[in-house]
Amino acid sequence: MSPSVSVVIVHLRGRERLLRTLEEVSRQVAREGGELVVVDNGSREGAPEEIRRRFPRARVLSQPTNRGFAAGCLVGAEAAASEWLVFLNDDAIPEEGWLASLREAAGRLPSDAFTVAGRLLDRTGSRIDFTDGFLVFDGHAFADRVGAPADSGGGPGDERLFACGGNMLVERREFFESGGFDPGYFAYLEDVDFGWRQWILGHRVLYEPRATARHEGGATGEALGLYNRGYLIEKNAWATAYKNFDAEHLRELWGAAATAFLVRIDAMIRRDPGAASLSRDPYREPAGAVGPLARWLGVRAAEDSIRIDDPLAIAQLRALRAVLEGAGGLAESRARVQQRRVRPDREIFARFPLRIVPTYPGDEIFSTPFFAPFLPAALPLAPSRLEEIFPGGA
Amino acid sequence: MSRAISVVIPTFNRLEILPRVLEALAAQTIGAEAFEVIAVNDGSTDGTEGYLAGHRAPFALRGFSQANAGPAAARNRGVREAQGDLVVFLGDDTVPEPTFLERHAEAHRERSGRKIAVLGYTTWPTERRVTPFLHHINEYGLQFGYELIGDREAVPFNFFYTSNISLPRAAFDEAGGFDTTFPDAAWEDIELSYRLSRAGYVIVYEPRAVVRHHHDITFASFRRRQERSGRAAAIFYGKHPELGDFLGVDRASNRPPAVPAWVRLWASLCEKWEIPGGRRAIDRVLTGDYLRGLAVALDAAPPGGRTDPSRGHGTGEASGTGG
Repeated sequence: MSPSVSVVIVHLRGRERLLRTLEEVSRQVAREGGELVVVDNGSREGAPEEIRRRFPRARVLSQPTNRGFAAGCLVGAEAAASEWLVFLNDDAIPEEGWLASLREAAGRLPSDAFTVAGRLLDRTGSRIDFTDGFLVFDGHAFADRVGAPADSGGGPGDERLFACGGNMLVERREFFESGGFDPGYFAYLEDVDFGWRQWILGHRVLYEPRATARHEGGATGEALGLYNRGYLIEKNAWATAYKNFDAEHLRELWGAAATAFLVRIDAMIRRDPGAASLSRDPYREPAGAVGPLARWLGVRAAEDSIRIDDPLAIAQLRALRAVLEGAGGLAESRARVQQRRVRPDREIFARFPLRIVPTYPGDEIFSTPFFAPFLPAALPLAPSRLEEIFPGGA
Repeated sequence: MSRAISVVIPTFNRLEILPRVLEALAAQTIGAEAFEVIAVNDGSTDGTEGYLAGHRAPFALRGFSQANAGPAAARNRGVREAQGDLVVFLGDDTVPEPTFLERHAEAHRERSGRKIAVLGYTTWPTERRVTPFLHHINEYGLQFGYELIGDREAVPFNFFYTSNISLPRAAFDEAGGFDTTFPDAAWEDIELSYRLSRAGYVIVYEPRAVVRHHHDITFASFRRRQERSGRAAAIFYGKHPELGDFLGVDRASNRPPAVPAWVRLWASLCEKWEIPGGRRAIDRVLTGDYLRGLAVALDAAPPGGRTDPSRGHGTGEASGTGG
């Protein structure tokens, strides 16, 4: 018999999209049994009241402020009454049979798997939004083959490194025992961190394409803006790499990751007119230099100054700062994960090759002789290009 | 002779409008032989009993009188007396359009074999100017919530409005009828609906089955109603604690701060001057009233057993959690 599920939806912005999602979810929950839990992360469009009126069986957990996606999921999971949890994005409208497929998949899971990755398609239902994902050497992660035809994403039971947090099922007990989503992430990559951890603990994550939802597109992500989103992604990429790589991988890859960071920062700042003085020849007199007479008269030379406006560069630097400020906690998190490790990363990345993907300004350096010594010969990285990852266009 | 449809109208001191309801039933597009009307006079003191006894209608009209016991008991009595297979609940101040019964009967016929109740549309009289406040409470879930209905074939249980709803008599009996511990017209309808939904019944919305609601509602009167609704919600919660979120129990228990005076003032001005943008303030005030009533009732003796000496019927209106 299929087990009962609690569908947890975290909401922040985009009330109308949420209500469209709930319309379909509540229908499937009513048919399949289980419960619907909506965590309102301090939204300001009056969603909780409308949910109570339109979906009286839903449980609405109103948070006074936005605690982030990861913490919101934890709040919902904590309150959930079922043995299995389903996390669904608030702007992902399930297709017919979505919940039934997840329940069936849960009932079929082998003893070493507790997580099912559902399929996310674009709003037309014809193109892939998420069917698979991979990890990059510096802790970033990508959904793979975004925009490719919907049915080209693999079959039921295929292994996945991680499930997208926008459409996944996980056993509630396992979710908490394994540490759940890291609330420090706030949003982005908490699902990658969780999936990788499942493999580290000796478990597996399996795919179920029949559990399909159509992703309308992130109202929340768009509203965050380039700076905040970039900041969260960069910070969480660092955290994911630092926490989860085993000793060998951390040692072998950290040089490449740190070099990539430095090169990117330089490339981003290079575009910034306010940072032009960084290009000045240090052996030449500055343009504003004053002669001896002027100096005697008290005229001072203009000093070099840097002003950085580029949001990507600021996001990178701010992320670095956050990582360093949270260094103690990260070290503890790393120790906890590594102490419980059952499966070495070599085994994990034999199944899911780590990749190297030129993504940011400056990443052209990956293919230069300068960067080659940072790449570990013994740990092969699979080169990918963005066009392969986003065949439908980014 | 048994008839297919039994229209059940509980009534309490509404003699000024009840005759219009009966007149409208006499003008239905389905033949007068196809239905009966059962009016249950719930202890009215305005001469309703005599009126019903003397009224001549083209359809079979049967009047019953009982000591005031509230709308739940009155409707139960009405169904007990009913002979039709399909029960249509109508309010004593809701005047049906001519096709009202035809639409209800048709909706059931088209879905025969399915376990359904059919919800019709209750709106304001055409001659009445509908202020933004009246529109709001009718459409967005405080009194009724028609604008909130998404899928008309699967309407949630909290849209069970006894001013205009029909269901097989067998369904009513299967669920056990209305719970008479609810003292007045608040939540007793939704509570029955919840039990029906758990027995597999689904509400279908048929907006063409129209009745028009002749009831003077003001912001002040609606605020008092919200507080009563909050008190009745505690009874609901006692019976179905799993609906605590929906009923707002957590919010009431946490003692939400009183709605600031300026919001109350702004909300009442919005109603008075018909300012369309006052929806949120009105919701906030009415929710505050509801939660206050609920908090008081939760603090009092365990749910159940309360009585209220003046059991008005309203129109069998629904009880939203309010704003």
